[in-house]
Amino acid sequence: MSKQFEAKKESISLINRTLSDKNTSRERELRDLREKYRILLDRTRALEKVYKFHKGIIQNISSGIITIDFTEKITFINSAALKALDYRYDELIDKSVRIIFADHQEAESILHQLMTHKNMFESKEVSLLSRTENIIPIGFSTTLLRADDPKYNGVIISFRDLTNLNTLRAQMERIDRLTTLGEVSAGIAHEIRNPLAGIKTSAQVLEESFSPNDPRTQLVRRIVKEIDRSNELLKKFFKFAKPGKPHQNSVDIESLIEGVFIILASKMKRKKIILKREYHHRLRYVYVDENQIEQVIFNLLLNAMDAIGEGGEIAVRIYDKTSVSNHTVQMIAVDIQDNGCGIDIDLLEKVFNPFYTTKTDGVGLGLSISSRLVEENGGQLNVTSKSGNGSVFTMILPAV
Amino acid sequence: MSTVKKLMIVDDEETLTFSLYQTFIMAKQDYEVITASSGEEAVARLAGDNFDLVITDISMPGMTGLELLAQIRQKYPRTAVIVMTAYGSEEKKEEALRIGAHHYIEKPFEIKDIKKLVMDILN
Repeated sequence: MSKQFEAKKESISLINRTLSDKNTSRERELRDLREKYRILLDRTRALEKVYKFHKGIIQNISSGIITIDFTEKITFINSAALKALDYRYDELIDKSVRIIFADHQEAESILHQLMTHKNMFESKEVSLLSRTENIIPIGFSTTLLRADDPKYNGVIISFRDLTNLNTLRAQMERIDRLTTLGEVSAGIAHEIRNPLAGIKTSAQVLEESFSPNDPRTQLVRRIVKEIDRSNELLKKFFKFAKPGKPHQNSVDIESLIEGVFIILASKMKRKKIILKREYHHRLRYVYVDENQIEQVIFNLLLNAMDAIGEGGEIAVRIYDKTSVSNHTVQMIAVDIQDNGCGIDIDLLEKVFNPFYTTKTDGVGLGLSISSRLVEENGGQLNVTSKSGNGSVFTMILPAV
Repeated sequence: MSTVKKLMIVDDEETLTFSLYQTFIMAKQDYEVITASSGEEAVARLAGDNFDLVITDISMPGMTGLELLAQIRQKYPRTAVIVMTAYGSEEKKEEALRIGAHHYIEKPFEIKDIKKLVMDILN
């Protein structure tokens, strides 16, 4: 009995030992598995972090990035590019890149260089076309894209929207051009005024020698009158060349505009002009020379009235124009819009040139002087227009 | 008997100096008028003579009217100077007045204005 009991006890102990060994081995395996899982999870998380970081860079970068394969199909497009072109991702992905070029011939030439010859571009300027058919001037560079997955092989196109830069360039060019023309005009005016002074003085000496009833007195007076008329024009040349230092103060732009409306009221009434005001009462104080800016407003309104026929419409808007990139200076914009004949796009920049005019009785100094005056006051005068659809002159002035 | 006032007109524009010369010669007041066609000539004329008034242009070849004005202010403080110019800038006016011009007149001017100016200064 005791022997049997001992034998059973021994076998039970063996079973227990075996089971215990097995359990220990399983626990070890499980621990290993858990460790491997943890390492894998850490690596995946690290990779995910890197992926998100890279994605963040690509999507938050201000440059537009587009990748295309060697069949010209768009394989990727980042947020900046979508925003600039006003498209959704699904509207462009897998589509031919040609659809975003404004000029098809130029697209053909660029893509031929990229696809056939693998010739890359550096800082090339071209125009793209947004979904809403706006022309967007861009500067772009290209790099060959060699991906692990050959279906993504192709070209990376990175670009920057040059609209603001081009506007700035045009403004700088205008300032340069007007300064040069101003200097030339002032030089010419000076040279003409000298002999005019001699002619005028001689004529007046002659006039004094005639009796008031002598018909020759009338002739001499006419000479003087014409000299004075020429001199008035020459004075405008000087005004254009050197508008005079502005005496800037806090000026209520709303009241200034309303004041000009009063002066022009009878003329506006005669032409049955409809006047629309969109003021922003919070934004009304600008830091300018009151007389100079009043002259500009007067000029712009007269031009607008000339551009429209009877019963035409003039809208004046005041709004905030503080640049997003420059929070330090708050700017206020004043739009003077007419629904008249508009200006041809090729002639837009020319309207600021001195002596450029479409009026039979104008000398073409109004807008050039206005542009100079606004610049002297630390502002800008811009124009947008579509032939047949009216024009908008925008005066951007520093706010108080 | 009134004293003869002596004035000099300086300009390289001959038509202007001639017409101003005629103006002051024919004036009711007794003026002795001399003309000079450059700043250098004016300086030579000023030496050893007492001028009551010099009317000078600013822009002339060689010595400018403002340089002439500075010399007159230094050597002949009793001589009045009227500066005339065909420039249309305020800066020239301010500069001329700062150096010591009695008046500044823009070309072309009214003959009656310059006559009155001369009379006011000389009386």
